[in-house]
Amino acid sequence: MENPTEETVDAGTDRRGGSWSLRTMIFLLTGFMVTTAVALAVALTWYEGSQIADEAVTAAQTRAASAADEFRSLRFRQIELMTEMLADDPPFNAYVSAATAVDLFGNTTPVDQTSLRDELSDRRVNLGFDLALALDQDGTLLAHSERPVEREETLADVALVNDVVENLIPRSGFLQEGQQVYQVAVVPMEVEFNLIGFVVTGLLVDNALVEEIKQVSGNDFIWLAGDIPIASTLGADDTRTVLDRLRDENLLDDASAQSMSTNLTLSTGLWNARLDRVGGEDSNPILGVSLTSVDRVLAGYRDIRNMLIVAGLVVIALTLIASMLLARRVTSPLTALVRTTQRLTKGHYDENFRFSGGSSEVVEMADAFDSLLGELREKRDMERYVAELTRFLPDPSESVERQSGSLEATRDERFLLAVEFRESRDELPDFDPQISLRAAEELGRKLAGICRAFDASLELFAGQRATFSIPGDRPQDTLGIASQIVAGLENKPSMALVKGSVSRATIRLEGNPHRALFGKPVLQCALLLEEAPPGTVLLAPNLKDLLDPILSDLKIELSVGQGRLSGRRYYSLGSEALLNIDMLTQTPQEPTDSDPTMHTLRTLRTNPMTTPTSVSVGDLFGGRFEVVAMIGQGGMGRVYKAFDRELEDYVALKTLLPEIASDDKYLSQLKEEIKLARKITHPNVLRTYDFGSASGVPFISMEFVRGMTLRYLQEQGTKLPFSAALRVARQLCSGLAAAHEQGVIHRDVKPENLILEASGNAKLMDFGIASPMKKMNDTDGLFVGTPTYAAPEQMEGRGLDASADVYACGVLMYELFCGVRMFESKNMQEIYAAKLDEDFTPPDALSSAIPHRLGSIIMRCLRAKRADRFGSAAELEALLDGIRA
Amino acid sequence: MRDSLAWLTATLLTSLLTMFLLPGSAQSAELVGRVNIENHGEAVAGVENVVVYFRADQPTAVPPPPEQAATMATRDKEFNPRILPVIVGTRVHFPNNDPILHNVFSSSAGNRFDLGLFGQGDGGYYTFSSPGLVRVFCNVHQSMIGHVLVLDTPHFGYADSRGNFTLHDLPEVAGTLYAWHDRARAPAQLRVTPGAADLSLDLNLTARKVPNHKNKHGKSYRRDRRRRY
Repeated sequence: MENPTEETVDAGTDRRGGSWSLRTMIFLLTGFMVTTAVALAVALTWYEGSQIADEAVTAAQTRAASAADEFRSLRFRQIELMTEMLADDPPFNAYVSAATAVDLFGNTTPVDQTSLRDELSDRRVNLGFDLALALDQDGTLLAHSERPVEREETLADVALVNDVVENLIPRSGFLQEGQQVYQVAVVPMEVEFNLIGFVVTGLLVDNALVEEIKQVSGNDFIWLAGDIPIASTLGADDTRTVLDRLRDENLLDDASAQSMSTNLTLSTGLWNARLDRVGGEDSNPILGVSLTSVDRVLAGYRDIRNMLIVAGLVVIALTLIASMLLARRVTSPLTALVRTTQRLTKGHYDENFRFSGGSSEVVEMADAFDSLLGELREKRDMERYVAELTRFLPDPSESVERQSGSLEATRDERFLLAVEFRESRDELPDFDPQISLRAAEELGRKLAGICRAFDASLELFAGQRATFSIPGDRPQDTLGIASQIVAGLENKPSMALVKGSVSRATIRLEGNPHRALFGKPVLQCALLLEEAPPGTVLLAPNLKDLLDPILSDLKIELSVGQGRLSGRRYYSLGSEALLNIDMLTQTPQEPTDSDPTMHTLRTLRTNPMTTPTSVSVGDLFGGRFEVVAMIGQGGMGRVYKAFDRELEDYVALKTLLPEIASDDKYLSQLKEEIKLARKITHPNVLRTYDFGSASGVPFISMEFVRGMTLRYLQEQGTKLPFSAALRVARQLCSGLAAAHEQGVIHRDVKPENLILEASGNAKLMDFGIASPMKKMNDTDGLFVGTPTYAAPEQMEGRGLDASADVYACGVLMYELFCGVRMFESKNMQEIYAAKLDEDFTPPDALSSAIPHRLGSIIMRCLRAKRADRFGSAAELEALLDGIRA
Repeated sequence: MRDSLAWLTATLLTSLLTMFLLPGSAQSAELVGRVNIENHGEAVAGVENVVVYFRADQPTAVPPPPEQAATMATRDKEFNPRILPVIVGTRVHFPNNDPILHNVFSSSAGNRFDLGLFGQGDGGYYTFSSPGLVRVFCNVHQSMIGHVLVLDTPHFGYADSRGNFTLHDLPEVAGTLYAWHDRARAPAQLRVTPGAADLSLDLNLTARKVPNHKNKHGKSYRRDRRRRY
């Protein structure tokens, strides 16, 4: 920062005015969003993981229960098949039949237990059961594979067996024998459907069984008969602990009715226990406790969660770093923009604002801002340039005096003509000061107009009094002014005319300029005016000899009188004589330069008050335009500054020369073109308001702009800075493009027609009113335009299109950028030939400040063939837009 | 039903008339009667192979067994006859009339034998030397069972399908009349004294029939034992 005291705006990490900086906000917001997103992801994953884990525990338990159930069922089926095989074994049938037989005479025979038991033992070897029983038709035990049978020992009181004895339908279930529980099947034995007895075989429920189920299901199991463990995959201590916990929670009793589930914390971690009744009688249910390790099921999800947390933390860290970098990257152009803007507010336009990196939007913004900076630089340079030149411009109030020679502190021999209007409306009862003011203004303008027409100086104007000064060698103009005043004004003033050495100066009082006259003639004139009656001019005695020769030519004689107040002798011309002078000067006689009388007449004929085809300052032209001043004269006619009473604004009023005004065909064409030109509304085009005719004088009213033409600037000898020239060129093309869009061809683009306002804005003027010139290939014809700037085809008088204006732009730009004049000191033929040759030094070869690209553009504008140029000003403007100072 | 009663009444009268008309002698008495077969209190008709035999209180000499062997063939995976009463010492022929292998064995006390596997043809012989009920099985076909009633009395015979029986050439001594069927858990007994008439025995077929039920899968729990080869 250039000035350390300047307030800086940093889009960085500081906090200003109670609000966070953009960079901090982006950083914090991004960090917050990412952290929140990651935290949510972790939380949701953990929650879902917990849900899934719970479901996984439940699913594991269900799977284990299904596996155990299936395993149990398969084992029952195995036992059933085993029992059926035994029941269907003919020798075994024969044994049991024999054992249960009643002999032919009704006597029962003792059961041969030894043989039966032996038979069962043999079968156990073959079939693999752990327990086998043979029962008679009533359920009475005939033989037991494991022990001798007590007398009349029956199993009919066991529900499972009793059911089979009653219904003769095989069944399987659990059978408790002492401390041991068996899975058994009870099958009726028959031969030819005649019941022989029942056979029971079973497999012991022991640790091996639950270990097998564990192998299939992955769960641990404890089987209970009532609350007594009969098989377990756990150690004795763990088994006891689990049962104690289940007893504490009264789950053992409840589980006989329905499945129960609970979590248990054991020394090996958290376990889920599910209790199912797997069989047995209500009084002595067989319960299966399935145990699955919650920790083991959750392990995978815990790993995922932990990994997610670690990954999330890494992501958060990386994101914070990335968001910091992003915030810096996003805000650095803004920071630079802010800094540059701050410098701009201080008037520092010389910085470039370029970003090669960053997103396309940032680059676009930087380019746009850089263009803006370029614009500002160009505008500043233009304004500086114009301001510098403006210092040397003549002040409008001095323009007349400058044209007639400087009076500042000068002394020379001059006529002084004092005029006094003695009639005043101030004495009327309905006096309105505004009316007097308006009348005074109108009077002043008329007097100024007369003065300008005779190239005299209106030294003083004080409402009812005015003093003209006329060079001492122009007595005829003095008389002309006096006669014009009498003839042109309704209110006849009193006048006094003296001649002598007069000092003139502009003095400043409190900053305001005032014209001042010094010398004896001034006082003499004042005294003489006092004596003068209205409508009469009193002349000092020393003027008689000077004026007599002129007056005698006009057959007018001076009257002799004596002053009422001073008593001194004087000469006078009455109003009649003055009117005669005026009337005689309008006599149409062809003057000759050698005849002084004719000189007088010629001079007087230029009087705008009496010439129907001219306009004079102070006139109310066309009943609408109050002509204020003449501001220029060209090939077409004069240009006046005028106040448009209808628009209530100052306008530029361009009147056409009589020879042009008399060309009806040209006027008609001009009128059509101005109709089109009126439609052009563009900042770089001087508005054309109206085209009309008043008092036989055709005129065009245009926007009034105070500024300098480009030609004037060029004539000052200082070359426009490159950036300012670029701006002018772009604005010229922009205005032309607007015109071309409306179908208007300017035909006369040249420095004289490009006016620069004090703000540096360029305006193209005089659309469609280019001066007619002689064609190059037709000696009788005329072409419209200016030879230096006209395209070759234009000089040939051929039909034109927008490319003709492009050519003129090329010449103008060539001169503008290179600071040279093209085709100087050449006649039209030479200019035409040079244009066809195209032998121009490239602008970039003339000045190192001119980029090659611009030089190529200008050279292309200067191609002789219109097809080789740019087709329109818009295309040219677009190319110039791409070039920055 | 009325016809049946009329028929039964006629038969009974005829039986009684016959008994009284026949001359009384030690070996000329006849026992005519009827076995009322019932199952849990309900009369059952059409029961074949009910064996009726008389055993005197005082054991009498058992006549020598017939020289010609009795026959219990295997046919259609059944023993035929299913129930064969023979005098002790009778040689029984077990021919195989099926085109498949059969075996005949018995585990009954005193008459344990096993003829081994044999194909269609002559089969084997066994002489039942000990009195008593002998259940004969086929080791190949669990459903086959035959009952050989080895009696120590020659006074035996079959009741017809209606339960009527007549035993000839009985000594006029007191004894016990038995009616036996394999579905009865014990034989029906009736004390008979000489001259006793109006013999009637009630034989309860209490042996339970095991149904050919379905298992939980809807299939026959056991194979159809009557399935033929």
